[in-house]
Amino acid sequence: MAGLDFAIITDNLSLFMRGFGVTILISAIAIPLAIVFGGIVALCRLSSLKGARIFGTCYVEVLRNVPFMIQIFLIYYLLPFYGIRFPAYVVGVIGLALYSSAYFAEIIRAGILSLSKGQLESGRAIGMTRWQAMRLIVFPQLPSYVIPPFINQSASLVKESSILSTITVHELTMVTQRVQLEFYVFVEPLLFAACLYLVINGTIVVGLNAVKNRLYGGAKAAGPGRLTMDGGPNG
Amino acid sequence: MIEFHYVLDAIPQLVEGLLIAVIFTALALTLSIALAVALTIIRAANSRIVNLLIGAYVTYIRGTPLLVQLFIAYYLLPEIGFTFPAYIAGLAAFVLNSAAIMHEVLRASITMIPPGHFDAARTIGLSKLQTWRHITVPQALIRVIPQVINEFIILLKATPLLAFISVVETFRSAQLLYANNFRPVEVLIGAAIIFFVVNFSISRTGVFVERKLANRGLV
Repeated sequence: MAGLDFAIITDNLSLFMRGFGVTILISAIAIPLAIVFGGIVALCRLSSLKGARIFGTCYVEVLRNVPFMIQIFLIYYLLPFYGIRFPAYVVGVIGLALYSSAYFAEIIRAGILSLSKGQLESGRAIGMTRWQAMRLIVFPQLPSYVIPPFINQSASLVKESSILSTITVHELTMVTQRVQLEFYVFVEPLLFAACLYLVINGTIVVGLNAVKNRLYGGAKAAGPGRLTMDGGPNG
Repeated sequence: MIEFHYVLDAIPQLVEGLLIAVIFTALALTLSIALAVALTIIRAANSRIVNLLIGAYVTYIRGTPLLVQLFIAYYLLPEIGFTFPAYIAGLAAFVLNSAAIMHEVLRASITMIPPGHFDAARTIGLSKLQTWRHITVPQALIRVIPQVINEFIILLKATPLLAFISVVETFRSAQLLYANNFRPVEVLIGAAIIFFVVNFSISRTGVFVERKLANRGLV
């Protein structure tokens, strides 16, 4: 092995940093979008309307069982069919958000279901509407349930964003490939890109854990079941 | 507009590609479980340096995209003197990726084994290795069956990435097809349909198995 030569990295540092920035930006837009879509779909799946439930179930099952790459290529080729032309990165962000929203939806749904049913019923019994009971009783308790899986899912989303390189979004992986082909050096750029991905995901894990601890006063006090009173998960 | 006979026409060739992907996934998963068991046993020996290395490996796998891992396997292995077909590099990346995940899953599953089992094993005079072989590994593996099924779906969904290191699987078949007939949307819908059918059936099986295991108090 002819030794690693990292001069290629320092020479192209600004290029790498631009790709790094694009990956961060894409993720920073896609994660909140995915959470919002996911929340809507989760509410659909828990709705009392049959149509909404069927829509929610189909949405989740289709998006989770078809590979992301096929979804993104499909959107990329399908939209121009209907005369809609978006730049690749817009298609990428939307595709990424849609795909992840199916997973976020399941996390949120599981969170709502894991709160014991009795709480919602008590709310109804004291005269709240279903929506009020959701808003005032269920939603405030959700973060402690959903933040840990949200951390994993957000890190997953960052990793999936590498696939957007295949539809010509100039993110980190695309930049890496460009440097590889331009200078005919293959391993070093990839190792550097891997480090940068680790930086993003490490930040997400540490950052969101800090938010969770801030909200719930340390790892020990937090966690599912803390707020249940009537025989919930840990009750 | 979308013409559905193109979807139907594409399906036989796509199914062939998917078959390759399924075989590839099954092989990768089997090897990765073996590696994960080995890693779990090694880690239990509590050597500080070895555990640090395993921890670093798991962090690398969980923190970086599979696409990047795939490219690293594809370009790094030849550079250190191994040359082989692309699918072997793909297999290496998939096995290493999945082994890290399965290793974490196994570790969690071992903590679910009642501690009395280990005391009992020591009482009847089983050695450490015998305990692993007869008590820990079989029980840990049976408990992780639902996660193994889940991991199968995750890996199968990742096989389109292999197209980028020139392995002909479902996605590459699709690309070859629409390079000829210029109907990317129809061909990709075909690919999406067959992936959906296979993955949905597997995930339903997983739910069924999980329920069976739960009935026996194993999950």
